Amino acid sequence: MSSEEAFAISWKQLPQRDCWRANDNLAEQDQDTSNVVHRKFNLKQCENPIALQSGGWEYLDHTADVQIHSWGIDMSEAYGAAVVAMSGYMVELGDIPGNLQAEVHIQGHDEQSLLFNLMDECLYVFHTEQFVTKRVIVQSLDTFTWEIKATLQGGSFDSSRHSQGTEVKAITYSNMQIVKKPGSVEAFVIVDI
Amino acid sequence: MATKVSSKRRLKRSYEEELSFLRRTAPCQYQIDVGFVPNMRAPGTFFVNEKLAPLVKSELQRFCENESAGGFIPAVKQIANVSSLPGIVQSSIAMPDVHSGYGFAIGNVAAFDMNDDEAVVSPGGVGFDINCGVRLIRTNLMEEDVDSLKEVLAQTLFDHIPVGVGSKGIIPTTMKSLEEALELGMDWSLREGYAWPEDKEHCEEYGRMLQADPTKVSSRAKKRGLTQLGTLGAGNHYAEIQVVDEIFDDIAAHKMGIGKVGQVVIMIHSGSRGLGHQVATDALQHMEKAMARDRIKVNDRQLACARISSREGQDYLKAMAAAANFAWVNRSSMTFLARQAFAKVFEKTPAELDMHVIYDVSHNIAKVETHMIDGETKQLLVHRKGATRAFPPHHPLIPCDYQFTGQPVLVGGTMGTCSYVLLGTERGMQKTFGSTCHGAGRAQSRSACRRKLNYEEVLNNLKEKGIAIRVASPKLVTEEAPESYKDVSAVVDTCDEAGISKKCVRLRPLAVIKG
Repeated sequence: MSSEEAFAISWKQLPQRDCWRANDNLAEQDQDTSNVVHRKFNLKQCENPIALQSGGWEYLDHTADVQIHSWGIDMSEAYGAAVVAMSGYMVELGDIPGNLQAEVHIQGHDEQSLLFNLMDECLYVFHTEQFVTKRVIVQSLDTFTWEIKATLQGGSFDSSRHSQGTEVKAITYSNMQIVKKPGSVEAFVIVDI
Repeated sequence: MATKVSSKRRLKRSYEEELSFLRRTAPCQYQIDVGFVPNMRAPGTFFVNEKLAPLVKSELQRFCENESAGGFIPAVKQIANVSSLPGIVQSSIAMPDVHSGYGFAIGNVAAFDMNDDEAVVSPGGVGFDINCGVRLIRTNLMEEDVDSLKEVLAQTLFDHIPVGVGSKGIIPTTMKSLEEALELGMDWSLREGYAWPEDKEHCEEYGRMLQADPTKVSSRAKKRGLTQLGTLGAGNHYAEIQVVDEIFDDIAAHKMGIGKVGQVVIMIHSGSRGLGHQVATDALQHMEKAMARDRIKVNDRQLACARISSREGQDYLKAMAAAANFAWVNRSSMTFLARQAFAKVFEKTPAELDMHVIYDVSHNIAKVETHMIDGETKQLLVHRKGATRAFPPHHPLIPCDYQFTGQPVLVGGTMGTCSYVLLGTERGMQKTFGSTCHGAGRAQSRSACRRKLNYEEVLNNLKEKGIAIRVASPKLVTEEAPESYKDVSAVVDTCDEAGISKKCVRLRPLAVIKG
């Protein structure tokens, strides 16, 4: 139900109130800027039609939550695939248009926190901007300073038009593993449902 | 990397060896001996009966037999990991609905001594959904009044309460009023006119944690919370119209305003939404740094913690309290919407329908409480993750109305199965820091359910039982099917048998609204 419809209902107890404003300017008082280097999240139109995410993923059994197992030829691919796997659990990826993109610059302090922070950022933009990440193109991944620069491609989610899956609440470090072998990298992440 | 894996494998014990650490100490009670995992400072305890024990053990067996990478840590290991945290008192306890979670197991209770400088607070012991909880609202309607209107009611409730992934609240909020809500909790709802003054009385902590400090909540968290105030969410959250199926304790039920079998009640299960999830995520990252500084070693990275007295510890407790307030405001807003929905359908005011809150419990929270430990009063920080507070009669922190009966404990069942109202007992106070189970607890994995079950079949089963259902996502229906959960009656019976709480009322669903 939209807010207009909600306000059209004659509430029996209360007078109407001001409409909510989602785009209130947030006070930039935040101390915690350690993980995301760029705070501003600017969505742009995609330059090229987007291709499929490279690498692969599957959902493994976990009693309460979901374990994402992703893989690729290098860390960039495995990390990107883990992000797309998370999006795929929340929405039907095929429904989402691939017309938007945005740049992110994430920092961590080891390989696990880098993956955690990247996934957390993508989850955050989903919940605040309704932006579904369908593909992650890693521009650079620095394993010395643990920084990642990437382009997120995807589109906007509209709950009235697109079918939905289950909400992912958060990323966890629980039994997180990054297995590196020559020519392949696998990542295991449990996300909280 | 390869050598690391092989050394891990050599250290791994067989399933039989692992089982030797688990001992049955009383009917429905098992102890996990020190040595089960490294650095244990206290034993672990879990309450399960004959029906539930195999489920707990099968998680362990799967873990032992898993040769490949991946997999998850079984609940018993997680209970034991918690008892390795500094400052733990007595033992790390798990309720009958225990299953594997992240960091702490779901259903895990652990208390830390406030007077111990080493004692810690862990966001993993609260979980991501801070102050996730259940609220029960009564009505003076009977089953026959509702039966013909079931579908209409379900649809109206579904129209009023925003549910599902990416849903937005219809309660008007600005950044300023959000900050006030974080600080004031249900006092905000009361001020804005969404709650009744009596609601506060029947709520843990009276719907407001006083140590809340909105400035400790990051703007990321606030931004996630802003649009989500008054939304149900997805996952296992639901709103149900239920009917009283059986009353075990007449006097206590009367105190709650439940007169007879057939009375209609409404149950709402929700939490602090994105705001709470982000608060927990932020805290996890801060605490990783604090742990390196204070040289705290834990068995599992998700168990990140900080000393209670440290800045990180205090900041987390303040932010957690703010998120808890948000959850109460959220549940109050949905109570308001449910009252409006009922008022609309029955063309009576909510007051005429006697739609009072029976009680509101939190099952993901850490609180400072006073407990008797070996004859001494102690201030403890009790973490409850997937466990409900269950205080006995005459406890000063429970409302006047329930002083002689004990605190009502609301145990939500699964979609299409029963829910229960339990009462806190003195025995629970002594054995489990006044805690009991919170729900059925999962038995099967989500992805297995998606593979095995067909959503039409699940919906038809519910229809056959005469339950009206509205869901935002068909995929979720299979994940949340009753088949994927433990038998809630077995869980509740274990609590009753172990004496940590006692049965009062059983409820059965008429209509379900889900994410």
